[in-house]
Amino acid sequence: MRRVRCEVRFMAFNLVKDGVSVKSIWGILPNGMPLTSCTSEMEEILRRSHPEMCYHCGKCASGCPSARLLEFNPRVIVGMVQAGLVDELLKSGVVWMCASCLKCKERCPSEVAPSDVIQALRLMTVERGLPFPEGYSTLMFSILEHGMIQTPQEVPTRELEFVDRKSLGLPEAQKPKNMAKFSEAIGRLMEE
Amino acid sequence: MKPLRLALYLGCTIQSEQYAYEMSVRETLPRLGVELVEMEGASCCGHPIKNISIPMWLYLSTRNLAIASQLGLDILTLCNGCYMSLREAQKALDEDENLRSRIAQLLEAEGLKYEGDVKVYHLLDALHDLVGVDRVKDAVERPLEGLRFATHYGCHILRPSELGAPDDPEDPHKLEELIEALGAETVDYPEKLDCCGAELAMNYSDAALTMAGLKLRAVQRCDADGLAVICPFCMRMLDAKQDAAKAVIGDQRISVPVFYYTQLLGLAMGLPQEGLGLNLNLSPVDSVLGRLA
Repeated sequence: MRRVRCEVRFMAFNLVKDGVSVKSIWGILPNGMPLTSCTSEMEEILRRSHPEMCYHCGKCASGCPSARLLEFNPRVIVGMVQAGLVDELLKSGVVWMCASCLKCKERCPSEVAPSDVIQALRLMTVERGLPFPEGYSTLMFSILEHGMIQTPQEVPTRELEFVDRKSLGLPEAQKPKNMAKFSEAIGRLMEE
Repeated sequence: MKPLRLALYLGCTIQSEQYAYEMSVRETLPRLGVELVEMEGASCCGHPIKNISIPMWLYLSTRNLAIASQLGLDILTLCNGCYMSLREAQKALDEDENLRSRIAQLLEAEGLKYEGDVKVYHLLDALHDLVGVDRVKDAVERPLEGLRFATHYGCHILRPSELGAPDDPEDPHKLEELIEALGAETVDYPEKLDCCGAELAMNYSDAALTMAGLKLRAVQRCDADGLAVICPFCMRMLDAKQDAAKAVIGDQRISVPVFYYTQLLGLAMGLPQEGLGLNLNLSPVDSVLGRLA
């Protein structure tokens, strides 16, 4: 990971130094493939997140909580996308280190949305069949079965007694009325 | 005053473990003139799924909008994630006709239809803008005098502001106004907008706990008696995981009582503690509760 990161810093530097138009590089996204090879949703997210507009001021990284703690930097990710290094990004798994706080998107002075670039890269990871955190599959199967990412749990009080919705006098939890029809729709979307 | 009727959308986390939020909302809002209507058939808002499938996320979000649409009501969300997800879905549906018709087809099989006529409120703007600070003030029986609270809004209620944030995304004040209406003081601190780490907890638990720990340390340093939150994920990180966060950042001095705003509201309204789920807070809230006795 560290090597990839150094390489990208160097490349981003070169982009500026050699006066290469970033827009001309944007056309080869992702990594040599025309942009139209992604699904329309991903393409749309990427297009609207404007990685080509980044001039590497670093404001996104300066407010990023993950950059403070992990080998992660939103500016470098945007730079790698500019440079067409999408395969390298996807294989590194670095896109799963984002905490989705959205400060980068909110504060970018050039209307880039690094958090949306990252979301598009996550979608690409899944679409290409590359490994992604298994937690997402667990959530998806829980939704398929129960309509929610988690069914009602027993929880402890400060005195370490265990209580649930019923003992607390709460009404029954919500879930789709027709689970068969709901699961059918989710199942169909999962297969896509 | 016109009675307010809103469809109560709980999402996953509140109805499956963050019971104190639901309890305190059900105790307080009707007393402020808000009728809460159950959303039968509701599901997950789809927020976490947005990372792996756009159509699945949009289907999940839209079906909840459709349920409210069929009730003829606007939605009250209590969770920042649900709030963002439902409003992002509205934007996506507005902008993409293909997606819209595809989702409509799937919804039809469930007997659902979304007409695009539902407004989505978070507890914060529902209380501040619909109920109003004055009405909250009028309901106070036992002012929380002498207590100072720091606030934590959480990320997804303020960002992305392109959805139309309910408050200033860089300098929010509505929660402070609602706390001051209860007779308590508020305290500002530089880390107010920092993330609790919840979204990272699944993939990088130590980094997530470090974020929570750093946030709690910042609150402790600003000399607040407690912290008020308005999102179940933030509550889980800052309250239930406070001991774990302390351990991860190696600072055992941290001791921050964390409350849902609606718990503080209920206390100020003079409601009994049990009904507000105050025995479910796992952070050291007894120091604050003791001062109210």
